[in-house]
Amino acid sequence: MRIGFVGPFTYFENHFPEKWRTRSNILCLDVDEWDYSFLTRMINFRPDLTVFYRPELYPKKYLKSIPGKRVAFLSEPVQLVGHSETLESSLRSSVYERMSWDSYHHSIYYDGTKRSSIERRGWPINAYRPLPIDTSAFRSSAGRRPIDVAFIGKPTPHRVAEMDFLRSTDLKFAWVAHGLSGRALAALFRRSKVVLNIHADEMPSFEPRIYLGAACGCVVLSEPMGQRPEVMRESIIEYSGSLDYAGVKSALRLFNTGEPQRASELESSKLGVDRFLLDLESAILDQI
Amino acid sequence: MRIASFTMFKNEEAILGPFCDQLDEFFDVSFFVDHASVDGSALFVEDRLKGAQVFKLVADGYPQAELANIFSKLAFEIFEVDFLFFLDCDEYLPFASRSEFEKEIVKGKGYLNMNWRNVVPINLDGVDSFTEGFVTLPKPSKYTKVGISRKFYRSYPEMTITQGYHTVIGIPSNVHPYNISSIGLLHMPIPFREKYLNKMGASAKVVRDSKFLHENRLGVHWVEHDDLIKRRNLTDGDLNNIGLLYPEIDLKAKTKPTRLDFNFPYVRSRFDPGKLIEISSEIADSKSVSGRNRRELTLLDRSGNAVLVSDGGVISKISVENLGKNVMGRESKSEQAAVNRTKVDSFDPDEIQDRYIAPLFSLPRKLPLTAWGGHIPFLFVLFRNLKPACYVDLGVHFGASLIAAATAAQSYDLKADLWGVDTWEGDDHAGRYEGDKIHDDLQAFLDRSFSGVHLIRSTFDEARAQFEGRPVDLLHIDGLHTYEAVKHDYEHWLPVLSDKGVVMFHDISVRERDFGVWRLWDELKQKFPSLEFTHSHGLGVLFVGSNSLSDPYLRLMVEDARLFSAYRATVSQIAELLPLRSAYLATEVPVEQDVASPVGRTGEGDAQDVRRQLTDAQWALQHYKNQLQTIRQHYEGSTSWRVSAPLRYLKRLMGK
Repeated sequence: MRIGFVGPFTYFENHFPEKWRTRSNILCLDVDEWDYSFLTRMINFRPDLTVFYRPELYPKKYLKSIPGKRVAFLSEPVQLVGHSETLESSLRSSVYERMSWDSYHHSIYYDGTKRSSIERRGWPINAYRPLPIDTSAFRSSAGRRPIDVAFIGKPTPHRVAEMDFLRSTDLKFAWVAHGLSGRALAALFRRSKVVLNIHADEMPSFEPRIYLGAACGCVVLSEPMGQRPEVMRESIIEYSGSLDYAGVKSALRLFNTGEPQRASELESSKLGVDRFLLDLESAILDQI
Repeated sequence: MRIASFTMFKNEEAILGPFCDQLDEFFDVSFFVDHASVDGSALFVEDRLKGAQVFKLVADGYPQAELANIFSKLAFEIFEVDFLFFLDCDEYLPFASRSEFEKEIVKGKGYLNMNWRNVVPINLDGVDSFTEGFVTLPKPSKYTKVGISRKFYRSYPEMTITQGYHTVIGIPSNVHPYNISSIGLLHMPIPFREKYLNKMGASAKVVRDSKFLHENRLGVHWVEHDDLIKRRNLTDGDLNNIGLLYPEIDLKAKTKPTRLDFNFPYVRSRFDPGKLIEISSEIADSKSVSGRNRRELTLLDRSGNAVLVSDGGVISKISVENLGKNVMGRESKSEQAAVNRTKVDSFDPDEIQDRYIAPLFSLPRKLPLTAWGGHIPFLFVLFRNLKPACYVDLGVHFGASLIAAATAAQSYDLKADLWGVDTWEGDDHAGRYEGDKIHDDLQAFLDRSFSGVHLIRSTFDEARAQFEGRPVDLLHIDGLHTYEAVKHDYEHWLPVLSDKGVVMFHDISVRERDFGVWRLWDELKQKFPSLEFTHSHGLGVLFVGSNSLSDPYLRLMVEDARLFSAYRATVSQIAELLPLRSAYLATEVPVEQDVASPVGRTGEGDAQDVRRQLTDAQWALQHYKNQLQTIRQHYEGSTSWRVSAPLRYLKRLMGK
């Protein structure tokens, strides 16, 4: 079976199949938003199945020219029903409204907590599941972890307000705002004990970095996620209110028990991309 | 008594078996003119009939009458036959044997005719047409076909056979033809269902594409039939009516067919639907002579040498004598191929599909204005199989071949260096131009889209020095097209080719102005193994390196003309879709509009414009879908057979 993945490498390399660079039946393409002719390479590859991350980006004419089954994997947060739209959530919603839904045979949304919201909007989502993880890169290791707390994500007023205090503590804190993905990101997490999950705004969301961090054997300390994690629950701690020093210290103590690393070794493969592909294949067959 | 036949054909291999049985029975000499077939028709008749004389026609339009008169001269003055009949591949004599035929034709005064009698097979599937019999109408059609004797030909030197061979003009009005059969010439407009659909589609396309045919209302019945086919899903009843009343169309007519009381005793073969290839009949040869006098025609022998050129005027006896010399004593190329055939012990159909068929469907990242587009599919095949480490494009202009090569290298993950050499100033053939912007735009596109692709802005000779010690695996020569220039380029670059070296020559089919690639190609193909494509002005692929043909399948194609003919038909067919597929993708619709329906979100003026664009795009898409649908059904392994014929044909031959 020939499998294609399309998505901006910076954000989605973490979610491409395990060891894909050495597998001749898998082609992963980065996105060039200036020139969508990069998709001719996928046309020429003749995949049986292609997974599109950021499916709202691609022109219909290219999508329809790519043979095989096409799967849209939507990963932009949307506002819960009843909550007022922010400028950003409103923009995301309008992009999804205009997306070429009929170019995809199957659509997945990454956050099951938004099911009602999405159903109200009438978007044809077939399944809800978290983004799969390249478990060959995002895995636990026994190496040294010199970083106490790590965060990856762009700075927003909310995030700055939440995490600013960490600069003045004795904790070794690393915040990478942009440009780290794939093996480099996995290396950062594997050198960290606690990974923070602070939303861009205050909207509850189950971001991909939650499982990425947990898969690397970290404790993930998160703002409200809107749902319980399905795997590695012991490693993923939700807090309410504001992040504080005591909460972080408590997370560090949990890390030192070794439980998060064990949870990763036992459970992270359930989030692997290869496992996802197997599930997807049967889901699409069922759909047909 | 010596009797000859004359037949023009185009992509008729599927029905040639029974037709050749007939020629075997009744004729001593059979002249064929191949009007740019891309299936195996020419090779079939050459193999099947010892007396076959096959020529290839290069001409605009369909000069049936001119050829009938040229071949009358050849038949009577050089071959000195006694009678000549003009038959199409779907026409059959109503006689049981040669002796019965001879008895009738001597009765007239050398001017003979028969009315068409349209017949339709009871079984329209194709294979069992002659077993299950035919139906017909009580009366023959009003259309007639003629035959003439040498005596008649000599008696009326001004005589001219008309288009369609329906009658003879230039003779006294009191000279009338003798009808040699009350049954009539048995005409099968529908040998089988798919053949009819296929032929009408291809023939209608020729008419639609030819201004001359269109303006002169020639072949309009093909267009009418094709329109009907597109409008309606034809039942067997409809086909009966169509076949019986051909060329008229009246689906509501109350025909009362009866079983044909003639069982074709001389037919031993069956129709072969597996050899039917969906070809839209525009072939490069007719393109390559665009701009010529529409009455001008050239006849080529099997090696591609011109044996007769006519400007539409009177053909001299010397020309015909020359033609006669060229048709005598030729050895059979296909026999040669059979002797040399490479043995492929382990045949893997999946491998053939993966390496030789699937790459044909590839698209380049961009398709600039080009006359080269038809060769892009096979360029992908070459990259897939030869895996060149160094490719050089001599003559880049807008970059179509270089972009395609770069896309192919990228698609197959080749760590190749690709070079494009051009002055971007043009030449006498391409025209002169200021190429700074073309060069800069191309450079920017290549830099952004690929790695390892380099442009050299210089003459070919100047650039050559950069390749000392850098062996070239695949060289494409597409510069100035005079014989001297292309020969110089070839000889100058030959020393830098690697032992895997392959050279591509574009425009080998163009014989207008002072183009001379064809001449060099004729010389080189005698010296090296080669493959020759005739579409898109022709592409010659020359295997010069000692290890250039290490792939057994590629070698097999080079050695077996029939096998390659089938493959070439596939290439040509897929190539025809490429511009439309690429143009559709390249339509510059803003992503936002393309992703979603733009209608209703713009001002009224804009909306109309967008709707028009959308309609055009939808039309293009639908057209593309329709064509692709047919190919995909077979390509992706369905059970239907039409377009997969070449592939199955390849399998069959390679499996021997």
